[in-house]
Amino acid sequence: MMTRLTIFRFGLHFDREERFRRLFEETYPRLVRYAQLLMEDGEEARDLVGDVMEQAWEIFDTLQVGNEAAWLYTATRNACLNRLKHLQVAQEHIDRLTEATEADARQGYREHEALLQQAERIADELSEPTRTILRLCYWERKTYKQVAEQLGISPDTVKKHISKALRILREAMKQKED
Amino acid sequence: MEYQQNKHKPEETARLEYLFGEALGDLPAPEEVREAWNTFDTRHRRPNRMLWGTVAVGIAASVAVFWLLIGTALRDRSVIEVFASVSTPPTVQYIETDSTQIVCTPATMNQRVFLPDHSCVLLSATSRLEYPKTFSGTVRRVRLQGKARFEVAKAEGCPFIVSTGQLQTEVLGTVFDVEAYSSVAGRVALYEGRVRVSDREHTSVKVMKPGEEAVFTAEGTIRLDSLSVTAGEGWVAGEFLFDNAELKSVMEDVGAWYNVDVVFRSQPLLHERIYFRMKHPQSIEQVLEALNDLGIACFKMEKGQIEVS
Repeated sequence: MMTRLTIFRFGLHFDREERFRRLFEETYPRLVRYAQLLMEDGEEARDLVGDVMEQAWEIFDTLQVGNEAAWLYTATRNACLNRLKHLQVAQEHIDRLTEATEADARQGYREHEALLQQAERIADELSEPTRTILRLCYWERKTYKQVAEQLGISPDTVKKHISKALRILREAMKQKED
Repeated sequence: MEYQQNKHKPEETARLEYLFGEALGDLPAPEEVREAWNTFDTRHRRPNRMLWGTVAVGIAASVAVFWLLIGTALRDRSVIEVFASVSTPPTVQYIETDSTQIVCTPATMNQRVFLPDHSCVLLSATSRLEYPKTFSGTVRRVRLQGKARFEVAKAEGCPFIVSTGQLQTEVLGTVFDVEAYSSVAGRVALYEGRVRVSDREHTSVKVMKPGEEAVFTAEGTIRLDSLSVTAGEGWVAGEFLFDNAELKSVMEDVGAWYNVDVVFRSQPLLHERIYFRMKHPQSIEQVLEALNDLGIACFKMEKGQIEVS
């Protein structure tokens, strides 16, 4: 009994490619952003997302319609965590990452997207310098000391701003969950 | 409202931090996304009239593919490109992803690769083989760009498939060569056993016997030839060995081995047949000298490519 994985008649194939292209263009940016967060390396992130897209292309027919983004997200997370292990990044760091991203991975893509939008909104509505401080710490991974030096303020001030931003996000999430 | 920072669990804070980090991260610009899709698409796309019109991004991919087809080159009507060099690593390169292993060969070097089912693959120069780290499931599939000789281990009920862009070769324990430097044309030469070749949609399917060669044409059909009249298999033994082979095939091989562009300045020369045998020399100049000695055409290196006139 021989099973072929890529059997499709010409007409169907065209739809498949179109559908995949749309999925690719929609999700690629967010996946790269997610992978960049985990890998802390833009090029690695893009490579990994590329690999995940390759896999997705292979199994596209078996992906549940409507659930493709969720699959892509999980696959990206797994690819990143595995890659970090392969690169022999400190297990402690990998564990922390795994734990920090677990809840959202479990929750599902849609909820994750909603949370991100909320976080984005909150960050946007933050006054300066909180907004910049937040970005410097969490996106550019600078230490409180580095941020303080860069902005010409004290590390304690930096810490206060971060706490404020986290508090706002935490409260917003609580409200949602209630 | 609670305001007890210290009582919040570190995992929860970490989660929020990562959420913020992600939310505030840079999204690739739309141009970058389109670029990424083009790259992805080029690897998977086949030339298709319908698609060319509808999907604008496909244009770049279809032009790139066209270079590899044997026919009139778009840029210079008097030149026919027979082999287009590709990017290769300086030595054999092994790349691993989660589940697959990729092997890329440089120019002038064959590399033997053993697959998880103990099948043996001799990968020719300027080639790329991709295979899963374990063969699970009902099919053993590998992906090839370039040329390779396969000695496939028998595995009942588990067909072995070689995918090369367009051509799909399915076997059940045999010895055969697959050549597909371009993603739209390719060749399979069978030495032992039975092989079924098809295009990806299975509109054209042929079963091969030993001593036959299947040629997948740019028009999308599969043609069966007998092996003895087409390009030889000297590469396995480290030599150029052509027995009454078309100059086109010979020069494709030479171009591929050294990873150098090859162009013909005369259409009839493509089909001139020669007998040529030579151990793979280090330098391409030595091959060209020997070819020139045949006295049927002029072979020279011009601006980094081989010209035949």
